[in-house]
Amino acid sequence: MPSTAGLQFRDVSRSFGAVRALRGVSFDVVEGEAHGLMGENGAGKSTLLKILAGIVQPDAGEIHWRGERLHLGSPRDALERGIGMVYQEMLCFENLTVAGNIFAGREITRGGRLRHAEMRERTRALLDELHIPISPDAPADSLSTAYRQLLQVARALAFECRILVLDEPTTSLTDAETDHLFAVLERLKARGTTLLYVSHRLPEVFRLCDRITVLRDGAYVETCARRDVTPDHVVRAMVGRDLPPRTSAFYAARDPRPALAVDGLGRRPRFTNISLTVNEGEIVALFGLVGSGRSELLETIFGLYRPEAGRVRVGGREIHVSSPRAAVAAGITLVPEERQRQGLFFNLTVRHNLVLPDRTLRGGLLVRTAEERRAAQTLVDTWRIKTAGVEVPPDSLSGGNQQKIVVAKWLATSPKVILLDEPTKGVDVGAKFEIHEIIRREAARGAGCLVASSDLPEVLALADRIIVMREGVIQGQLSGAGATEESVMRLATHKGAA
Amino acid sequence: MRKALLGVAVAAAAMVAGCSGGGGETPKGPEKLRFMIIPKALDIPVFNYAKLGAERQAKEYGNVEILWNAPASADQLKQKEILESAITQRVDGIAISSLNGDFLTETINKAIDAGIPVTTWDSDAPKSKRYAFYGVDDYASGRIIGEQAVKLLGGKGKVAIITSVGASNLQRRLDGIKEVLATAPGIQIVETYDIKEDSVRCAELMASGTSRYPDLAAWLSTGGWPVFTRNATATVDPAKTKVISFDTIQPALDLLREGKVAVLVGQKYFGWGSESVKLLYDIKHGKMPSMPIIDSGVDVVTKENVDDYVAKWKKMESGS
Amino acid sequence: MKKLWHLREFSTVVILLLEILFFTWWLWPEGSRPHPFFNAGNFLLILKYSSIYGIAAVGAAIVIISGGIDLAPGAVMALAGVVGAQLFVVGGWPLAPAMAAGVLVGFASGLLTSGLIVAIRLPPFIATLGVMGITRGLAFIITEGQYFDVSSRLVGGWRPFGLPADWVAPIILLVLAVIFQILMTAFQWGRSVFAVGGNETAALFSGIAVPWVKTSVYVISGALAAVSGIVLVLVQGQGKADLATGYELDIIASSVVGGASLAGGRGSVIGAVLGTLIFGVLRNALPQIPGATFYDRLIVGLVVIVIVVVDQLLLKKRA
Repeated sequence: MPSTAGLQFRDVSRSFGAVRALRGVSFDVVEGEAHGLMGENGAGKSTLLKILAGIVQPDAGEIHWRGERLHLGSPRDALERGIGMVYQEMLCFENLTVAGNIFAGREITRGGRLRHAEMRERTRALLDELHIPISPDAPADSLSTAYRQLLQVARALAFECRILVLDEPTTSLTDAETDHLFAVLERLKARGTTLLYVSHRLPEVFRLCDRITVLRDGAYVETCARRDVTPDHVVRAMVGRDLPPRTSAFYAARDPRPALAVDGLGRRPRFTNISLTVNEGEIVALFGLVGSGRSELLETIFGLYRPEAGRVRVGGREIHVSSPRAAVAAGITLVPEERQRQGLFFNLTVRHNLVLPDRTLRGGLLVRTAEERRAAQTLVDTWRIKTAGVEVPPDSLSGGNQQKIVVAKWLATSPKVILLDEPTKGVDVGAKFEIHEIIRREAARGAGCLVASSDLPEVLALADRIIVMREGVIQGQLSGAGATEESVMRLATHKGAA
Repeated sequence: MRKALLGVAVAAAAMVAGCSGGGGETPKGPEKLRFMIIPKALDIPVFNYAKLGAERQAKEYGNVEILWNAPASADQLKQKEILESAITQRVDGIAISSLNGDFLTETINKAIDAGIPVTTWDSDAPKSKRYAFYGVDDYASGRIIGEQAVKLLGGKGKVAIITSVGASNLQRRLDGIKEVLATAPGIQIVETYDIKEDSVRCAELMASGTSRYPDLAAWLSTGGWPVFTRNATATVDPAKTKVISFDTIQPALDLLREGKVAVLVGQKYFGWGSESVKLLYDIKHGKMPSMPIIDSGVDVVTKENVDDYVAKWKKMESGS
Repeated sequence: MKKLWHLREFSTVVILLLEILFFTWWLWPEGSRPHPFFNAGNFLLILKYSSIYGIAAVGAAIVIISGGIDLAPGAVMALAGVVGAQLFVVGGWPLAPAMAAGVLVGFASGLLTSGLIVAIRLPPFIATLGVMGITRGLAFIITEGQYFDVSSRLVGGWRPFGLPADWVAPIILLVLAVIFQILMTAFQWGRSVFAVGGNETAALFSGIAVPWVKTSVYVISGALAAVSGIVLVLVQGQGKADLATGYELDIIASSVVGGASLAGGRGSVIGAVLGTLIFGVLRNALPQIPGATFYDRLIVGLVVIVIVVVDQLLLKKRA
């Protein structure tokens, strides 16, 4: 093991509250190599990057570069040490020129005055070196997405950059643009820059990187050399864990009646040409990684957005989903991803929160206090929501119980179609199982459930059928009975059917 | 925690209310007479001298307390509200300059019926039962302005008039001006501007008027707005256009000295306050006013007599 | 049932009582003179003049609870008053239809406001600012700077329904306050107003017809402001275009002091009425303290800030 060269992570740990994002991660990056960092959502990759970028401080552990310990207390520290970051979300100052963007925050001044000519010259030199054919004076908002991405790279390289870190840089790029980016990256590698490349896309990682490190659940799994392994091996490393055995039977389609049928639904650029069915009593999981378009699909079915193309049918009847109100009237409910922000009224009591959708659906002028209180109490009992009565506001409840309120209130309307967006995100283990039980119960009642989730164990535990989405398109379908983590993950990370 | 806060607050209030009889700042002594003096609004600078005059007079008497109260800016309904509150608050006397005398007539009568003597100053409510009015004879003063204008312009030229619609005293001054000007056929009134008691608006309109009528010979004003600030007369060329205005409140006198203004008609500002207090005091002690309309008279100030006037003013201001 | 002293309105009542106690003590007269502040006539006066703000404050409170804001009440008051006065004095209409027409003006203004906010999606601050200008401008255009003398046409000693004219405003305020307090608490519509104000996204997701809720609150605000304007004209006796200038700030401040949060979702009609009374007492009692007249605005500003700050602190403690 080279002892002084390169970037070394030693026992890096970080927790956010009760969540342990990184647990004693240690590995080495050789100087001058392209190193891939892979893992599922929640594996700890972005936390590690944030630590490297000086945005977040580790609770324990050290980072060494060329044998020297790095103190990265702020983004500026990271920059000064030669660590350049290219993020997934484009940090682009649209109102500035290309040169302005390159030097934003780090302008060249003499005695407080900006030296425009010098900045422009340096920019031109940099762009030429990277073979990026844009002018330093071009306004940033005139650039295409691909060039903006390259601008990010250039910005990271504008100063002595020894380590270039890229976090999912090709999410919004076409194949051709990706090629261009990779050409630039190859050139950088040839010059001796160290590359740390984080991505879900196996083909890309395999194309660019010399070695690959896999993280899982915040812990280090392994590092392998690219030429020694196959993509499948990496997938297995990313995913392999002990899953709780599936307890319920799979949905037996004796006489399938579609509760929800979606036909050619599209809303660019989020998703196009989505067709799927969910039968009564069936639980269908919609699996996909970040950027796959799952949430947007659910929200469109629920009427929050108008689709550009396609139709939605509930129970065989086509519905014109123009607003959530119409969706609710047709029997569709959506349990949103951010339950507190999108589902709770902190200015109303628990009782109001629980009965509102049902009462709104049934109409009526007056508030029936006694009746509502009874209904609310029933829900609290059924769902085992820990609260000091129904007449208190929700702020005193724990996060998990607040989430239960949001799920409970929707299911109280006995909907025909239940859309759930990441139903157990941010929920503790106990509540997680309870929510899964409830979803199964609803399905048994005859509702059709469409669950969008990026949590693989959850998908495998719940789903009768798994639909995998990637970048707005359905990659494939698997039946719950035969699916494995690897098969699902493969569909999610590769282009084209596995 | 909120309960505790509330508890503390209630206890404090109870203690405070318990030591009643301590009330306000006034020491025990011979009963003080409370007179409420109500100008048209708090933001008209002229009336500050009335306040001074009233307070001086009250100090002389020793047992008079002046409550100076008015709407923040000219609002007839708010002034009526204040007058009504004077009644329910059982003051001993009221002296008011009405924004709209007819509007307040009923309320003034109510006060008098309730045993509170009411006098008016500067702007009257002639239809009411008020005991007396102290102020200028508006009509006569208006005529004076008109006469000064005719004299200075030699009987011919274009003039523009500035006034505020609504107050009856200003209306009568306007009538006086117009009557006199009508006798001089060579004089033409090009426009009468309503500036709604707003000095800033006055400056605006004078500027636009000057550019619109380049050969304007004179600006005449029923109130002191053109001379309350320096802005209004800034656009006027004294060689071409003469300014004749009511009121001698500074910087009016400076403007007169500098030649930017030709003639000023001054009212008895301190008198508004001091005379009103005197009247109310006398009434309270059984001495009725000798006549209902007390003409305070005016001071006509020009470059010739401005120094005398200023000397007299300083004496009154310092309270000698 | 929420404990009585936990209610925000309870705190407001306490503040009002403390205020009254304070002034009663401070202004205690010497000897055997009658108390200038603490007497029936004075309290009726406070009630009368506060009602004019109070009626519009009911509407303002509802809008604020829904998460919006309305800057137009003062201007709508003027326009409604002017239209009513003109029809009555110049058009020769009988009193009731003329007043009804004025209230209709308020409805129309509310519809315009809600159209701008719901259909065109202007931020409420901007939309109501624009409507404020439009309605005030229309009032000036209709009157051309003149005013309509309503009192001349009103039969002397006007007694609507046999009551003294002074009582009209407080009675209208009481009736409207009760009606709207019930609507806001006992009816689904009222609850959806709180929901939209508390979390518009969640309300949308819950199937509440958010556009309809928003439209209704602005229409109500406009109509109530119009009623206020009509009452103002009847009390003042004149319809003028510059009526109620600047009243919107006092109206909003009253609602806020009464418990409405500008973030939406909290507040009450009763609270708004109590808030108007708190300011009414202040306006009445302060000038009785020699030299205090000029402190009126300052103290109003301080009162609002202190109450809102205390409100925020107490809210944070609960979260």
